[in-house]
Order: sequence, then structure tokens, then C-alpha cells
Amino acid sequence: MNNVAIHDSSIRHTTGQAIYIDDIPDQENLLHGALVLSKCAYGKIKKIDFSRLKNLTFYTKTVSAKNIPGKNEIGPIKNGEPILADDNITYYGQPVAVVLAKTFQEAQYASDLVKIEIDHLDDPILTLDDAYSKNSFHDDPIILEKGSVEKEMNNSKFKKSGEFEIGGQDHFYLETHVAITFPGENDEYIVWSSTQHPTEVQHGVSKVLNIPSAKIDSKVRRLGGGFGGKESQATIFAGISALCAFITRQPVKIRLNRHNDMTASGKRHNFKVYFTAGFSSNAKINALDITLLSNGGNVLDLSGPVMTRALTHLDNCYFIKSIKAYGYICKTNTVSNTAFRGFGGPQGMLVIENILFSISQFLNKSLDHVRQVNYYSKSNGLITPYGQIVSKPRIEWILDETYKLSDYKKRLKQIETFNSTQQKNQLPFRKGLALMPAKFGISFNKPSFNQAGALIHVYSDGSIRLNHGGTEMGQGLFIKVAQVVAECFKVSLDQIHITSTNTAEVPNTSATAASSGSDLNGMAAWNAASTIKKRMIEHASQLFKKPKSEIIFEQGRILSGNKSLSFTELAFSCWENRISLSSTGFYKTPKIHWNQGKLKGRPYFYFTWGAAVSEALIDINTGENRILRADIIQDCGNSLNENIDIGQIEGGFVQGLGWLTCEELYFSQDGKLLTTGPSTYKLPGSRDVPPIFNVKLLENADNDEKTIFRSKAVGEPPLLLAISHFLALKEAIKASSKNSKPELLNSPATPSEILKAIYA
Amino acid sequence: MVSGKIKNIFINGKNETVKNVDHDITLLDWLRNNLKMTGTKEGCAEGDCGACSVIINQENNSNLKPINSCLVRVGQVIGKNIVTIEGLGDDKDPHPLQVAFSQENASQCGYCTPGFIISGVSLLNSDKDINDNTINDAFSGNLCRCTGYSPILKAIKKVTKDKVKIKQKYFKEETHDIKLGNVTYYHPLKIEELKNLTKIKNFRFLAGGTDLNLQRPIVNEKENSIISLSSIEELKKIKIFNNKILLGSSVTIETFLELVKDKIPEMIEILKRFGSPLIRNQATIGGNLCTSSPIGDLAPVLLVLNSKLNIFGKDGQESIPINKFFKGYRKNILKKDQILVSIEIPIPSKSNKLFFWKLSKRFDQDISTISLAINIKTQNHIIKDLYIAAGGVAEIPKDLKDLSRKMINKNIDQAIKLAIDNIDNYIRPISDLRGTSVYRTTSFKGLFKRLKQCLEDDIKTMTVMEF
Repeated sequence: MNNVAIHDSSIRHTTGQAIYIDDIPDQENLLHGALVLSKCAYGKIKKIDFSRLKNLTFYTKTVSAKNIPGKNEIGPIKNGEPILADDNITYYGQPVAVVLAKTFQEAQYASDLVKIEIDHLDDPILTLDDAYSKNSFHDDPIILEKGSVEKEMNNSKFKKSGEFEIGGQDHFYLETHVAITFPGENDEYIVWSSTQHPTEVQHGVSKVLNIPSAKIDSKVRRLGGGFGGKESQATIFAGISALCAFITRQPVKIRLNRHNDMTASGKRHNFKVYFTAGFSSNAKINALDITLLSNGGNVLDLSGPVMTRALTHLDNCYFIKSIKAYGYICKTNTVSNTAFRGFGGPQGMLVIENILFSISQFLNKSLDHVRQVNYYSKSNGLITPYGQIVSKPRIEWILDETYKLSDYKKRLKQIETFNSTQQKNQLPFRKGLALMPAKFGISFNKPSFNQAGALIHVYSDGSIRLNHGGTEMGQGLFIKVAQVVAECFKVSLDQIHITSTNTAEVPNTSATAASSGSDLNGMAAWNAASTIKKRMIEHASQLFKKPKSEIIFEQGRILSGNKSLSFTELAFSCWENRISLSSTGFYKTPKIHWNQGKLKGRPYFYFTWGAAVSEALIDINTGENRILRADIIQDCGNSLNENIDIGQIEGGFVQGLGWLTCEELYFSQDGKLLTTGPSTYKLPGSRDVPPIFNVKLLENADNDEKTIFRSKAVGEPPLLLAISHFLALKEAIKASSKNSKPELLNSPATPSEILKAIYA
Repeated sequence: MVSGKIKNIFINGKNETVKNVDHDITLLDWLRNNLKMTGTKEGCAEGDCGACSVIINQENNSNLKPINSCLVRVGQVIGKNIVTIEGLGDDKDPHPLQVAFSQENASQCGYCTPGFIISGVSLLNSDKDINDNTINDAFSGNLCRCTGYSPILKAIKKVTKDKVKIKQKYFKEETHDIKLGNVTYYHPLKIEELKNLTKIKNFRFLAGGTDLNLQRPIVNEKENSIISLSSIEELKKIKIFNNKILLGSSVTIETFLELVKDKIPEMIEILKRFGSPLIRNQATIGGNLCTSSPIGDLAPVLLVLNSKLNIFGKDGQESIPINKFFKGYRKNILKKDQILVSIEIPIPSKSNKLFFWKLSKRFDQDISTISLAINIKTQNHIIKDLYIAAGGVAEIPKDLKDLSRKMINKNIDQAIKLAIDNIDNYIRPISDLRGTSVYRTTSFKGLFKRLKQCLEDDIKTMTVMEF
């Protein structure tokens, strides 16, 4: 297989010829919509005052919740999630109405003139501790329990308690949310939106307009970045555009400016964590008692599964004898948080890694020692707290490779020398080095989401049209799936034509999420291609008068003995002989089962493994900090595309660095997000990438499970490896002085946080 | 001046007419909506992501200046030559950098990519070396959320500089007033013209526009004129004397940066962190001072250098020391009809040492949390002369002359201890999204510790960036 193929759209990306939703040429009667957002966090709408629009010299039309013909409801899991506020405002910046105009600029201008009259309700709940003390939760806590924590805690020689905060993160896809709806005859609607989940857009529009799904085509060719931010959130804005198209009978585009996008769309959940760990004098963990508070925001959205993934990643690579972890999803008056690359996994893993750091500090042992005694192994145990067996852990293998790549042990000594020289000479720099392995579970926690479809047509000229349920958001899914199809037919990649995702071609799809895109859609496309190939083999066997087992597909030709045809010739011959050259393909992930009530089962088809070593540098005078070097080994199984996988690893890691260091969401006292653009919300720039950045795939590492070509998923896992840098920063803070308190370091580790931990 | 007759902008060597647009339209929106050239993207519309980058081609393909097209109004660039991503190549005939990006997997979602190509091609066409440092400088105004940047750096290093020239027809630049909607953009060529122009009651001055253009709309309901200061030759003049530099207020930060490399090299680092090349090619020194932000990066520097400001208005010229200029939060002493003409910067004596430090959450393209500027002369460990100014610690760029007075004639260690111990008497920073008040105070003390170290070891600076 061509496993180094470049992204199918790359030359069109670089020349500006790739078409995103906002680049689709406007139809003459297209209307642009701008959102009117609430200016308080909690209140009852008395009146939406549109009167100032009357004086405008240009056309406007307004739409609000009362214009909705169906249900004001798009909750992906539970009901109660409106696209436009109905009676109550439940967060600052909530969409309340839409102003339509002939240009984007006019719509924006006019939207600022709308006034929302409010009866303020009680004090809004804006923090996790506030929600916890007021019992403001979306649901009962989700509980992960194994063994008797009480007994094991009592039997432990040492106990250590602590608390810390984990900040949220804005997705900051470069393309903000955007959707265009074209109304057609007989209640047909075509919705183009920047969505990771076209089927959910279709369902959302169907509910809002009270029109059956069959009349709604939901499409997307590519997204300008998604990262989870366009999994459920896209449905809100696509739903609003469809509503406006329904009302006006004209095509309507909703494109959010950056400020509105950051204000009115969900983010990574921020967490607050309370823990007590019981452990032996050798740092063996016997018991963990953990309370996780996640900020669900005003509505539930995907917060349940996010919490479940956080809880099922609390173990990371460590066997934990007994655990009791309560996950509370707090209901607050902030924007509803949502999926973000890692989906709770990063928060869960940061929890256990912080706990290990605290234990290492408490016992004055190295973090590596604490890890070593607790790893999943035959002697420690191989069963996760949720009951899945870690059948063949790749921890030792990954660590060996990572030690080699990073020269870890030598550098540990060098850094120790560096720090003592700095301290002795009263100089301000300190370094920290930290290694961490990461295990990540692959599959949606809800088994029913683990299915996919594909549709392949071979035309009589031999060209192949590929369609499947996955969306392309930059991760290279389309080229990977095309590679699979090219490999099945043994034709060159340029014979495969890649097409837009469209619910009219492949229905009932899952979100392109949970790193599962190529596992699911690759296998579905393989199945579709195989069905056609089987028919072509049968036909060739008749033509060549050879048994089917002797028909060989090779380099664009079909061979048997001394007879051969080009793929094109065989395709044409199939058509002449009335053989179907079109097929769907379907795939469902085997072996998985899950009891969400008990949090037990086998939620994950397999695990990916990775490890990273990060070197951090801080200035103890100013809190300025950098990452100087990162070394990463990631297990991608038998990689479908090494270049694309390495791109995912580098990009995911840097996104994780942003989450843990410079990306800070800052709210005003009344709940208004103040960091609503890149001038105030700082994501990593090119200089923030480690100057030495070694990334390698684990070699000869076929997936033990039967995935497509024995590959493994890659989208999310590398993001979690950035936690190694957070730990390296803690090591550097620890080395700054005897009085420093690295355990006080909250995420993100901004200069303010770092100085706080040094001088606490 | 030909008033309101010629309304063209030269895009990729084609003469494009500006018609049926409102005064407020940005170059970005005009390209995308009116010309249907959608390769240039909107990522943030506040000059911080670079997806909208285009090149102002100032002298027949020899001096390519990338800018943020979201921070330029169409009325500002009438008669100018602009190169967009579409002008560099297409899939049939791509520019070598476009090929390199494609081959090195330097695009994932692709939305930021045209902007990176614009910044990259501009760097490749400059006389700068291509190394990690110059590349990071060039890309400091471009954000990518997918790749982690590594393949982008690889791609640009792959391109050899001999084949990067862009093939572009270049038009002779023209300057024209233009009325767009109800607002007239005036482009005076001589400073004297301002005397008459400022008799128009409802006008607003516009320099580079990187701050003012964030406002939508740019003028308030009563204003109907914009007086652009970009075409007045006198405001762009640079004169270098033995003991001072005289800088026109419309000199861009990027030009200033090139200039100080020889004269006051201590300024290079802080000027490189002033926005990004995309901003610095547009933003002016006068604009930075006249917005009078409390954290204006230049103000503390110019304060400790005892700069003088020359002001022009309908009543004539006057000169004032810069420490008399700032009046309050985003307020200065300029009257409605007055502009800043030039800034006189004394070149400090070789026996003085200069330190300009800026702290921010991110190194590049970030607004200071705090900044500190020091101009100091010592003799036998005694401070003989000292000027201190700071940004981000008060509602104006703060001249800390009371503190410096106390430190003069003291031994360095004593003086710095005095500053650290009594810092609360001099600064009262607030907590905001850039940092807590505790952080601002603690790190301010930290910078004084750094100062002590630099003076002791006779080094220019010591920061994490040197590793």
C-alpha cells in the first residue's frame, strides 16, 4: 500500500483553491444571519426588542425561538437543549435571536441593535465549587468503583490528599462555525455545514423543522479544523440556518465571527479534582478516593460520555487495587462544554499523573520509581478498574524505545547538574525532565456508535467514486480510506475520486470522533470495495476461463496465467455484461460491550500506547517557561500512512501543550468570557514548539486486534502525551527552591501559576 | 490629487475597480465578497491569526510586505499593488513554496495555509537568511492549529531562494481620495494640507489602522471623513544625526526595527515582539503612541530614552517631552486637530546601558502583561544616571522617575534591594486576563533581580529564549 501518500487536498490548500463552506459562491437571494447573544448569565427574557431595526436603510428580518415550527431541541443525548433561548437565559452569550440581512456586515451591524430585556434571576452559578456546594448537577454522579477503598486506605502506611484545577480549552479551529441551508421543493433541504457529524445535523434540522430526515441532505466536503468542537456544536448553528431558510424560503448562511464562536460554542471541560491516595512506603498504590467535578455548563450535551472517558482513563498505565471515583457533572451558567480531542481522557490522565507526582514528592522518590512499581504487569495485575483486561500491555516496549530516543537517563543527570549550578550561583533558570507513558482506549464508549458505512461506485471507464460517513477535518481520513480502496482494487490512488460526506449517500453515520474515523470508515470502505471486487473476480473468471482463486489484481491490471485486462477494461466488460459495479459496505466494531450503569465491561476494542519525554525550562524570576525538547514514541499499529500519523502526533502534542500552558479561558465576575479572540487567548505559535522534537512510530507493531491492515487510531492519544511537559514543569518548580510547592500548580501553567507555585 | 475619480486597486497585476462598497469594508471582505477571491481566509478578523495575509507589493516585486487584510480598509489602499494567494500559483502552476508545503504535509485542515504561504514567500523574497529564528519571526503572526508547525518549518527550508520570485505585473502606485458610502477617505500628500482638511468638523485621523480598524464601524455616526496620514511624505522621513534619530510618525514599526539594528541594538528584541511582521508592516510609531494604551510596547522604551515629540496642528508646531504626553487610560494631550509629526530619540551614550523587557503569556505576538525599560549608567558599582519606565502597571505607560531618583547615587545592590522592597509604593497593577496583580508585582521584582544579574555579569539580558 502507498502508506506515505500526501493529503488529497494539499495542493488545493496551499493555493487557496480548496473550497470551505464560506467559500461556496453566494446565490443571489442568499441571506446572512448574525446571532444576538445574551448579555447576562441567568435571567428570564421579558422581551426581545427589535424596534431599532426599523430605522435601518437596509433589509433585515428577525428570527427567534417562537418561530420554530418543530421542537427547539437538539440535545445529542438528552432533551432540553435549545438552539435559541426560549424563556430563560442560562449563560452569558447564549444565542437568543437571529438578524438576517443581505450581507454579513449588515447582519452583524443590525444584530448589535437588538436589545434583550431581562428579569435577572438568582445569582448565576459560575464556578465548580459553587455548583458542588449548591448541588447543582446535570445528573447523578457517575461512579467508578473497584475493591474496598475504605479497607485498603486503612491498610495503607501513608495517605496523601490534595486538590487542583484543570482548565478548559477553546478548540480554536481556524474556520469558525458556519452553515448554509438551501430550501428546495416539497420540504427538501440541503444543509452544508462545518460539522463532524452530518447525521446529527440532519436529525437536529429534522426536529427543529418537524420534517422527516429523508428530506434533509446534510453535507460537508471539509472542515477548517474540528477537534471535537464541531461534533455536537455544529448542529446548533446548522439548525439555526435551517430555521431561517424555512422562515424566509431563501438560502441562509450563518457564519459566526470569532468572538461569537468563542462565546457561544462549547469547549473542553474544566475540572476540579479532590483526591486521597493510600500507598505503601515503596509507593505502591493501594487505594484511590477521587472526586471529579466537571463543568458541564448550562446543558448536558456530551458531558456524560466525557466524564465516563475521564473515569476510564484515571488508571492510565497503572494497576490500581481499589478505587472509588465520583464524577459530578456540574450544571453552571456558562456555555455548555463539549467534546475536545481526548474527550475527558486528558483530564483523567492528568489526575493520576498529578497524584503520582504528589506521592513521589511525599516519599521523596523519583516519579519514575512510583510509576515502575504500579505499572500494569502480570505480577501487579492486568485488569482495569472498569473490568477490561489489558491483555498485552506495550508499556515496557514503548519505554525501552523512548529511553533510547530521548537519552533519558543521561539527561536526567545533566539536568540535575544544571539545576544545582544555577542554584549555587543564584541564577534564575531551572530545568525539569519528565517521562510518561499513556494508554488510550479506542472505541466510542457507547457501543452503538461504533458502526460505519461506505458507498463505492466503479464506473465503466474504470474510475472509482468513494463516499463514506467520515468527515475530513485535516486529519487525513479521506486519503487513508482512499488508500484502503486503492489497495483492495490494486489500482493507483489517483484512480479513486474522493467526495463530500453526505447523509444522502451514506445514512445513519456516527460522528467522526473518538479517533475512530479510519478504523470504522476504512473497514466499511474495504467491505464495499470487496463486494464489487468479488463480482469482478467472478466475471474475470468467466472471461479468462480460470478458477476464481487464480484471478489476481495487480498494479491496475487483472491477471490470470498469460491473460490480462486493465482495471478499466474489466470494469467496462462488467458493465456490458450487466454486472453491478456499485456497493455499500458496512462495519461494526466487534467484541465491545458496556454497562454504563455499573461502569463495567469492555468499552474499548483495543488500546493505543505512547510515551513522551519532555524537557522544561523556567525562569524563577518571571515565570517565563519553555519546552526545550520532546521525544515521542507512538503506537500506530501497522500505520496506514506514516506521514499523516506523524502529523497527528506532532499536532496533537502541541495542542496539548497549549491546553496545559498558555491557553487560558478568563471569565468576568458576571460570567462573560473575556478571552474571545487570539489577541487575548493564546495558542501555541511556531516558536513554542520544542526546538528538538523527535517523533517516531513504534515499529513492527501490528494491532493484536483485526483492524484495517492491523493499524491503530491516532487522532487523540498524542495530545495526552503533553502531560509529560506539565510534569517536567513541576520538576523544574520543585528544583527552584526548598520552599516551592509544585503540587499547587494548576493547569494551564501560565507564568502567573508558575510563580505562585514557586513563591507560595 | 484626483479626487474621487480613480477607484482602483491592483490585485495580482490586475486593475480592479472599487464600486458599490461601504466605507467600512476591509480589504479581506472586498477580496472575498466582491472579487470572489476566496483563497484569503478570515480566521479572527483582529490581526492575530494571519489566515487573511496578503502582500503589499511596494516596489516592483522587490519589497514584499505581508499584512493582515482584515486590518486594512479598502479606502486605505486605493492605487496600491496587492498580491493574494491566488497570485502566487495554482494547482497547475504552483509556487515552489506551495509545492513544498504540499509535499511536506505542512497543511492539514488547510485553512491557515494560504496565510503561511504569503508570509513564507515574503520571507523567501527578502534578503534574510532562512533559519529557525528568521522563520519563527516571519510566522509569528500566523497560527496553525493542526500541524504543530514542524512540517511548515521543514517545507520552507526545502525551498531554495533562487526560484521564489513572484511573477507579477506591477502598476505605478497612485494616491487618491475616495468617497465610499457616506465617508470620504482623504489622502493628503503634504502636512500643510492638514490645516484646511481639519476644518472639516467630523473627521478622524487614521495611520496604519491596526488598532482603529478593529472598530466596527470605524467612524461614529457623526463622522463622515477619514484623514489618512499614510501618504504624507514628511511623516515618513527618517533622519539620523550623531546624537539623535528623528523619526516621522508614519514610519512603520518594521522600518524602525531595521533602522535601530545599528543605532540602538538593545531595542531589537522588544521590537521583534511588537505584534508580528503582518502588523509591523502596517502599524506606525505614531499610531502606537497616539492610541496611548497603558501597555503600548514602545512608550516605556521611548520614555527612558527621554524622547521628544513634535506636534502639528492648525495653530502650528510644538515640541514636548514624551513624559508629558500621556494623560490617562488611552488618553493623550493631542487636540482634535493635532497630529504627532515626529519623534526625536536621543541616541544614548555608550556608557549607558539599556534593558527592555517584556513579559507575556506567549513570547510572540502577545500583549505585554508587564514591560520594563531601563536606561542606566553606573560607575564603580554606583548608579550615576537612571531612567525607569514600565507598561502594564498603571493606567498609562508609567514613568518611574520617583523610584529612579531614590536609586541614583546608591550602590547597585542597595538600589535594587530598595526597588524590590518598596515596589508597592510605585506600582499598583490590577489582575486581568493577562496575569494576576500578584504576578505582576512578583515578576516586576523578578525583572529587577534580572537587572542586578545583568549589571553584575555585564550581559545584555538573560531569558529562557537563549537556551
